Amino acid sequence: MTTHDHQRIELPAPCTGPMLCAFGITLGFAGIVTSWPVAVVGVIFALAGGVHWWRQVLPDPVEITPDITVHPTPIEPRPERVAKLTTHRAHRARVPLEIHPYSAGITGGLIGGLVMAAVALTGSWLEHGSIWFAINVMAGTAMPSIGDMSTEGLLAYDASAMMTAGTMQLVLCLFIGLLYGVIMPLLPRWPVVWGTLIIPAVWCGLMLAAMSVVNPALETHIDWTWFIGAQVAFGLVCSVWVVRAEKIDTMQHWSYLERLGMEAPGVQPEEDDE
Amino acid sequence: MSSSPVRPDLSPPLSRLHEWVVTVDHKRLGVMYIVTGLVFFLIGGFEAAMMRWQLAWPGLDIVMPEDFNRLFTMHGTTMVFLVGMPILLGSANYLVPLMIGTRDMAFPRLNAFGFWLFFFGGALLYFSYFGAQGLYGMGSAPDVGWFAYAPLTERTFSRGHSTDYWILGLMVSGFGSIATGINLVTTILCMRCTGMRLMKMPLFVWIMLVDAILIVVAMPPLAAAQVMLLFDRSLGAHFFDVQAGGSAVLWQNLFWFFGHPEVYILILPAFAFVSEIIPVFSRKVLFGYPLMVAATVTIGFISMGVWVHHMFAIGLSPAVNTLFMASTMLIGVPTGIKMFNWVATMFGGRIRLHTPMLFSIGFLAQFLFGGLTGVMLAVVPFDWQVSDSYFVVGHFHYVLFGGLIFSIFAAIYYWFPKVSGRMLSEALGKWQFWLLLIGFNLTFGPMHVSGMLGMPRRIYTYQLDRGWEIWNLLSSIGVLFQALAIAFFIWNVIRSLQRGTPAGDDPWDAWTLEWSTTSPPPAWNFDTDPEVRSRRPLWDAKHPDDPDWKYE
Amino acid sequence: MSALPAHDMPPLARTGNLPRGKLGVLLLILSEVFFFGTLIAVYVFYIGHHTGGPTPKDVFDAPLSGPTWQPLAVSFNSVFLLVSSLWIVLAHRALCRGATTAFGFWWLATFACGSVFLAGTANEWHGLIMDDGLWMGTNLFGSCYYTLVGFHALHVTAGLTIMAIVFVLTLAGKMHQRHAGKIELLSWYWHFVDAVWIVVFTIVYVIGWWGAA
Ligand SMILES: [Cu+2]
Repeated sequence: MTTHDHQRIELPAPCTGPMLCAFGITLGFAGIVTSWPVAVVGVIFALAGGVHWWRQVLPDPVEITPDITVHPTPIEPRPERVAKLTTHRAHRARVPLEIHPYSAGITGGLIGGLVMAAVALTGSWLEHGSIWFAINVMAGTAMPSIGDMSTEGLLAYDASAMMTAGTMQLVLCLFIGLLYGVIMPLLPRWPVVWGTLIIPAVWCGLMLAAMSVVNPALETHIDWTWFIGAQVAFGLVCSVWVVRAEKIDTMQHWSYLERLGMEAPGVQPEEDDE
Repeated sequence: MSSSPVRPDLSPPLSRLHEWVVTVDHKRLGVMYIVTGLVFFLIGGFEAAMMRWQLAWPGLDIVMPEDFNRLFTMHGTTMVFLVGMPILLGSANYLVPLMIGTRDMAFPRLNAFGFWLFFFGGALLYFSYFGAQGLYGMGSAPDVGWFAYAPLTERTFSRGHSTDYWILGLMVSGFGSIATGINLVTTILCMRCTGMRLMKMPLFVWIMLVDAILIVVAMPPLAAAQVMLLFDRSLGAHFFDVQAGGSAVLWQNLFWFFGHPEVYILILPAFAFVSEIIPVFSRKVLFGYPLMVAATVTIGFISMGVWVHHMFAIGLSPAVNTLFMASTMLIGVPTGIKMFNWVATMFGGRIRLHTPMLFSIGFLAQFLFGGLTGVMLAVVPFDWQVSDSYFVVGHFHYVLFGGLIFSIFAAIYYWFPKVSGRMLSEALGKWQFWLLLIGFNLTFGPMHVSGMLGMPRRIYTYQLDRGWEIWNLLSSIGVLFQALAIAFFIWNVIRSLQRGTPAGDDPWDAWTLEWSTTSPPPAWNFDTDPEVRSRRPLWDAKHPDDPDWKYE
Repeated sequence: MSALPAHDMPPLARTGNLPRGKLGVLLLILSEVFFFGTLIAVYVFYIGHHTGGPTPKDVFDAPLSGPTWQPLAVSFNSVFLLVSSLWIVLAHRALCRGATTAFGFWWLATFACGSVFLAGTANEWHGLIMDDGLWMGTNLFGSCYYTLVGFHALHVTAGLTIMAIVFVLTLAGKMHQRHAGKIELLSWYWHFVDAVWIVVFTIVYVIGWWGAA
């Protein structure tokens, strides 16, 4: 036994028992798939290992005291200061600190929808000599019967198609306008470019791919140039309208107390009297 | 003295071996677990490579059909029971006592017993390649798939002893896992150093606690099911004998009642590794520790109640399927919380892209991908479409290889300096990372496509005109990259053990207790019993002007 | 900012560590609960599924049908097992007091009662195999019955083996007051084996009988 100036350290002594016991148990099971003498040998090993193990722990565990020869290097305080995560406004740039009012999106959508309709109807009139063609084709997305119409039928006025197309245009433009209003402040760098070119491009691509599934009969009637033109017109008008609206604060960087509207000494950071 | 590990009467190498064989030291047992696991990883990887060679092109005959069955059975069984389990148990064994500031496990001899049961159990399973023919002259290694579905495993269909070896080998190593699981829980709940309340433990220890409890409750049902199968095969019982009123579906229920928690037993250690590594290499404290603990415990509970999602395609009632679809999707919530917290830990940090961090980031991306295909598979109609196809193979390899194995390499690069006292080479490590990243995605990405195109699992070859050729060829080419990556790893370990840079006590400037002792730690771990006041005791010591206990 | 003096540090928290022996045994029992739980679930699932006899109605009488209830032997033995749980508590108390002789007495009583139970099970099996021709492979009922009851008997045997060793140590004068803690752990295991038997008994001899086709 060595003496040392540290607290007395006791460790469990190494022991062959567990290994022998485990080996014996494995052999015992292996006996099932080999032959019974294997199992007998296994049981003997397991017992021998078990007895050895027991005698190590009972009545009192056998322990050894190691010679303490190596020591870890003491941990010294670091000279450098701890940097703190700074939380200035740009830190959360992905969450808009200021947004356009939602009403700008709604009105933008309505105005964009009018311009879009104007472009589509102009296209319809130039290509087919009738503004009803575009309206009927649009209504066809919701009215399967339109898909079976002849070209002459598509050129003629149809009251129910007019109602359907009008409602669709109104609802879609309202919601997409609202969507524009919400996402415009999130778009990087040139929101108008996103709104005029990229979003319509994605949307038209989606339509191009999906139209054969949504309404194969109508796919043949759609004039893609004017369709895309109408979408771009909508995007341009709506995004410009939204971007021109004055931005409002989102309270994202306000403190909890400020959001609660508490007015008490020391709460408002700007007011520094006292 | 009988208690001394050194036997002067033996020659030096033998004396060394004797020291390791009789050891009850948690660190040596941990190393033995991990080394054994890595050796089985090479074997299991070789089996996988043989399969990919066979499937590289239609109509090859590199291996015989019956050998192919053995290969996928042994590959799956090996990777789950002889690679994942020992590496997780080994790393918990090595690190948990160090992290909670104690000298050894609660039951050191039981710990050795658990390791040797695992070791001999694995050896028994592989002995089947030589011994399974028995008197019948039939069979070799097990060939019934890693989940050994009844009634294929009944004596009528599986002659010889191969299935018995599967039962016995896994049962023996399963007993070892239960023993070590009990030991880990007891160690964590009974041996923490002064000041370490449960909520002051490193997250690694929390996750290992939940993992060990899952082992304690999930392995016994498997053992019971295997006992019944063994009785069917050797005593003529009828548990899974459909002709005598037995039920094949019952085996599936029993197996997956173990099998799904097992999946979480395997992936939780990955969470544990990256939860230690990401903060250290982001130079930030782990984001949302209490939430991470809660998510871990929640995952533990929910994982016991989702097993039927492995059986969607067998014709259970829609009510049952819907219920388990919902519970399976529910498990995505705590897992998602963890993903967000790891990313939030990195956010705004001073990220150091050393090899452990690279592998951790690889883990994040690939585990996310595997997790999302998991949510797809949880949807019953989608599961019906791709069940038993290569889509499923792609999914769980993204979880277990892209997730678990990547995190294991992260852990090896992170803790190797502590274990060996020497750094692994960063340059070789980066080579390994990029090669493995390319190889892994090349192999398992295309499997999603071949699966969607209808290629079933476990077929040993296929016809030319199915449109599967290119995807299988890509998968097989990926194996070459992976093999090269593993070669880099082996070379790195050998080279670094001999002449790696000395690591010092704390090479990564880390914060948990294992870095406060020498590398490698002495048998007694700590000269004096550690005292902790926060989750990052070394941070407190290094920054006394801004210690963590002020904020916790 | 300068380093804080040591006395400004908060006091060390209480760890709340648990006693490891007790927790270890409780965890062992937990894993056993899941093992037996699986066997019991399978037994219940298979009640009435067997094709061909003998059925539980052939080999057992109706539950509580009076003193002629055929598994009276089992019932009687169950009493022995349940009572042995009491004796082991008395033995533990005696050892806590340091009364080793009294400990030896109650310990022997526990062992004896456990052995009678085991002998009763053996007798029951003998009758079932020889007279009723029921074994593992006879039908599904046989498979379930012998597996469930057999694993319980195996746990009784393991307990009895350890008890025998402890009894030998007692005779050799090696059991002392300080071992009372370990004896308590052993008694927990024994109570668990007891509790399992109550469930097994109910499932096999009562529910299994009613449920049998
Ligand atoms: Cu699962």
